[in-house]
Parts: sequence; structure tokens; C-alpha cells
Amino acid sequence: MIAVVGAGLVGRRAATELSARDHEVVVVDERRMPQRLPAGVVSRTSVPQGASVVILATPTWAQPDAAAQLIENGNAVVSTSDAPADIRAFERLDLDARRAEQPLVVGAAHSPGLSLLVARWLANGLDSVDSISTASFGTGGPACARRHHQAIRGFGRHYDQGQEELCRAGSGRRLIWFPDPIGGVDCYYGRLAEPFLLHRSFPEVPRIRARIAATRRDRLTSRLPMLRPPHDEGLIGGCVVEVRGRGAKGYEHRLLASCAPQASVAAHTAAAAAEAVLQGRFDVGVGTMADVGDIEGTLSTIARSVPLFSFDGKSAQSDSTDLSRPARKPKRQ
Amino acid sequence: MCNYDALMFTMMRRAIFGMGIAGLMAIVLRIFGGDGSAPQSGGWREIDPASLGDLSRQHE
Repeated sequence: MIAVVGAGLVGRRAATELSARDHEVVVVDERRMPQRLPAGVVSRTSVPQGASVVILATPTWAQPDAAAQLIENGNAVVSTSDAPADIRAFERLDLDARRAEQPLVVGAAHSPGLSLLVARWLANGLDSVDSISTASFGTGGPACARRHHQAIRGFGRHYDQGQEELCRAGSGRRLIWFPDPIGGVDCYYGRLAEPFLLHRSFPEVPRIRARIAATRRDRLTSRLPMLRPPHDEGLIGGCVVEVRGRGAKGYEHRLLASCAPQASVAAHTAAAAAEAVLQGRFDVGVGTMADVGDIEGTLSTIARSVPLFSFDGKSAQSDSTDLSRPARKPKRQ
Repeated sequence: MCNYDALMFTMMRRAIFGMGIAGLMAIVLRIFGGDGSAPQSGGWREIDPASLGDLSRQHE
């Protein structure tokens, strides 16, 4: 049995996904009406005793305490929180999770979550990885929108030469091209959990960056309370993962992106993580999506519901059919 | 007053010298910098989930 705590967008969609895959699913949320849940999913006000895995899909601040309690009760936990403070709190539960012999999967959402899985998939086969960069666009439900608002103020962290460094949220602008219909968007450093999680799973990678898409208005108003209530759901979301490193073919630059509503991607990732836990594909203790045993299988499962895109760039100088442009002098080797 | 003029002249001379160096560097970087031409074709291509294994093998 899989219990999903929280009947928001992510919780409901994860329950629907797992129910469609013939799992016994219980949604735990005392505030929601049962009729809002998908057919075949039972509603409870507390986590049932027999739950093998518990997905935490509540607002982020509530998750570390809930995870500690669940680990103490002997449940495996999958968390969808993306708040850096929560991730630090989860890391402190590592010893408890090992004692309980249960996995605690952290950051199992879109970005972090799917982004970590994609980073591992891209890095596989490279002899050495020099750099991992991620960029995310969009928000899921209202709680996610509030987190996005908070993420653009204060200080974030990234890794340079393997060392953790502070960076001002809202700085480090870079134009990132997401798949259509998103297109090119300015992305900035932020108070994000992804660098910690990537560093945790890829301690040997010297350069780790995570950015978040933001508008001028987002950056200007980030220090103020939200000026209007967030939308019920951000309709489109995306994430681009870029891995650079040296492989058999020389220096390689690999990119993969996802483009779908953030809440749906987070739900599919959390559901895939819960299934992976049931199948014993996570070690005990704290782990991320990059630590799952079967990377390709898990990514394939998610890719059946979430469109993934690979980037195939082609330089004009290698395009012999285009004669309208004068050929540029090739770069000296 | 004379001292003030000399200071202003020195400052201007240094500013012009600095701008000249910056201009020279910009010209050098513009001519010799860059990494070939930017991609002119290609782009994001949706992946068939069933072909993830093939892509992995291509990577290797």
C-alpha cells in the first residue's frame, strides 16, 4: 500500500498515477473532500499502519517533521519538498533512516527530482564530468508558486572547483532555451535545493549550477509579500539539464529537457520514486532520484507521461548545403 | 590651481589610456574570440521513451 500525504495538485495526480498502475493507494489529508480524489483511491485522515511507502506532497515546511515521525514508525518516505532548509533537515534524518532500514528519497519532484535523474542518465558513459547545470521554468500549485517567490531573494549556493560558494539570488542571468512553447527565458541563481542534491549525488563534479526562470517583476517584487494570490496552477513548466564532460568521443556537451506542467511532472516523478522504493531500487538512508538503482527504467517510466527532448545543435560551418553564408575559417585544433 | 590642472590632465590621460586598452582588447576578442559559429539549425527533438536505451548506447 502506498500512502500519499496531501491532496493538492501533486498529491492527487500522484495518487491517480499509482492507482492507474494497480497500486493500492490511500490519500491522507483531513482538509480535502473525498470526492476530489480519483476513483478507487481511499481517503484517510492519518497514515495507515500497513503503508509500505509514504509520499509527502504537503507544503514544504511541514515535511521534515512528518518524515521524522514516519521514519520512526518504520515507513519508507518519498518527499517532494524543494526547499533548501527542508533538504538540510532531511539530511539529518539519514542515521534514523538507516537505523529503521528504510529509504528516504528527497527532492522527488520536477526540479529537483526528474532533473537529478536526467543528470545521472546524461552523465552515464562519460569518463569524467566537469559541469552540471540545471534550469527550471514555471510553477506547480500555489505552494510551489510561493516557494518560487521566496527562491529569488536572499542567497543561494553553487559549487565551483568542488567548493560550496554563496551567490546572490537573482544574479547570474543566463538565457536558456527551453523546448517550445516556452522558448528562450532569462534564468537566475536562486535559493534552490538542487545544488546540494546534485553535489550529494555527484561529489566528484567540480562545477554545479542551478538556475530558475524569473521575470523582471519577479526579481523586483521578491522582497515583498506576494502582491496577488498565486494561480491555482502554473500551466506549463520545463527543465533543462546540461552535462559537460569527457567521454569516448572527446569533450561532450549533453542536454536533455522536459516540458510539461510542473505539478504533473512532480507527481509522475514522486510516483516513479515510490514504485522504485517498493521494488527495492533505493538503498536505505537518504537518497535522491540520481541514486535510484535502475536509471533508464525509471526514466522510461516517467517519459511515458512526460515529454522529454534532446538538443541536437548543428553548426553552420558543418552544414555544407548552406551556401548563402561565406564559410568561416575553421578553428585551429 | 596649477596643481589641479595637472591632476585633471593626468586623470584624463589615464582614462584615455584605459579606454584605449579596453578598445584594443575588445578588438582582439572580437576577431580571435568566439567558438566557431552558433548553431544555425537543429534544436529540441522529442524523444520516444522506447528509444532511451538506444540514446544511452549512442552516448557510450
